[in-house]
Amino acid sequence: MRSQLIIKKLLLAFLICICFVACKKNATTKEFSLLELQRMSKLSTLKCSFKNVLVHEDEHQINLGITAIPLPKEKYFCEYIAYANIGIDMKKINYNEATQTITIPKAEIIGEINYDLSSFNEKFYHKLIGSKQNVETITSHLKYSLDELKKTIESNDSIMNKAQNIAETQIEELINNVYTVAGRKSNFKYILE
Amino acid sequence: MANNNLENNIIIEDNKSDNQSNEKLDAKEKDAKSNKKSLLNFFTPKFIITITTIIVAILIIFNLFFNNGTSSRTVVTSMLQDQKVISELSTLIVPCGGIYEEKNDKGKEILDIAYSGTVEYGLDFSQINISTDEENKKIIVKIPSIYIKEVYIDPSSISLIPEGKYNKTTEYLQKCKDDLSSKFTNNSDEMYNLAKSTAVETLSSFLDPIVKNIGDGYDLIVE
Repeated sequence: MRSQLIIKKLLLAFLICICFVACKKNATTKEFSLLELQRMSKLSTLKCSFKNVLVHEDEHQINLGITAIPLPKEKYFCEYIAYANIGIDMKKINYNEATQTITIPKAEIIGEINYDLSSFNEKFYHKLIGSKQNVETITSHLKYSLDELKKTIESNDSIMNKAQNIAETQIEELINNVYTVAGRKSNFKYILE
Repeated sequence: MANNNLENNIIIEDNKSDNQSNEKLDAKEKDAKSNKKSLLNFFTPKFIITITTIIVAILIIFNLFFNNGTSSRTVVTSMLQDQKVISELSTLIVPCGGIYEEKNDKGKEILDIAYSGTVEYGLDFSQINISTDEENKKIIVKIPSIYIKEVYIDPSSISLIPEGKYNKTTEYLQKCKDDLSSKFTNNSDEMYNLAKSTAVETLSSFLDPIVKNIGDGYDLIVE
């Protein structure tokens, strides 16, 4: 009887170890990035503010091999203001002396899409015991929403064209001022790329 | 008589051996039966149910705490709120990282946040002053002061020790932003000078051909 009891305990311990090994996940990643100063000549002419609404849902379930038990959804809502500076790269302005034309390059987003922390309004729903939501996951959702906004802005011709037109006006004004102080009049033609 | 005795002895001995083999067989059968019984006693229904319950409980607990959500959905909606005309020339972006440290009254570290982001330098393009020195045939372009245009913290770069509370995310991001801003405000002469020299180079290279086009021997000075 005593030996049976010992064998039972050993068998139980062995099965528990098997479960732990089966549940264990191993994943390692390594990253390296070299950060460099970026000298630039970018003229921002339009600042656009966007109201972003971010909704993230996680659907968990308990996997039992042959079946799965669904659990209530975890939800994260966030409403905030993001803003983007749009303008042109002055290095790409093309000056043609022969034809006396100045070509204004296409507009682009200058720097990163930034966010106003004072505008954040966050809500969490159905937080489970042992929830996967933490600071790192929430900030990754935020980064995703900023990246999506960047794509949206870049594909919006109306905003990009407006920024380009304003850049043309500002460059023309600068050149006119130079000519004015020299007592001359500028005859340049401005072309939008 | 002797033969009969022998025969009797043999019979008796045969019987004895038969009995012995029978006894052995019985013993073996008894052993087999007892082994079966002991196995059955070992894997009792109660034992099997206990094992199964423990395995299921472990699987449930691990799935709850360590298993990632099997499906996720993220929806982002953006609405243009405001457009403002600006005139800012960006001349330097400094990518940087840091660790924000928070200590309690006893000097013990209670929070560490690793982050990365960028600091952007620039000037007000509309404040560029253009004048002329007719005597020396110079067109003088004076650039305004350089300032820090934007401080940006990459949200996906945040990592905390200990693991932070999810509902304090904006608080942590603000701490990182303030930390980064303070580093560049107090100790950034090198970056300021680099941003300024880039602005000078930009305007020089852009306006030089324009000034030459004026003719009359004008030279450009950007300062």
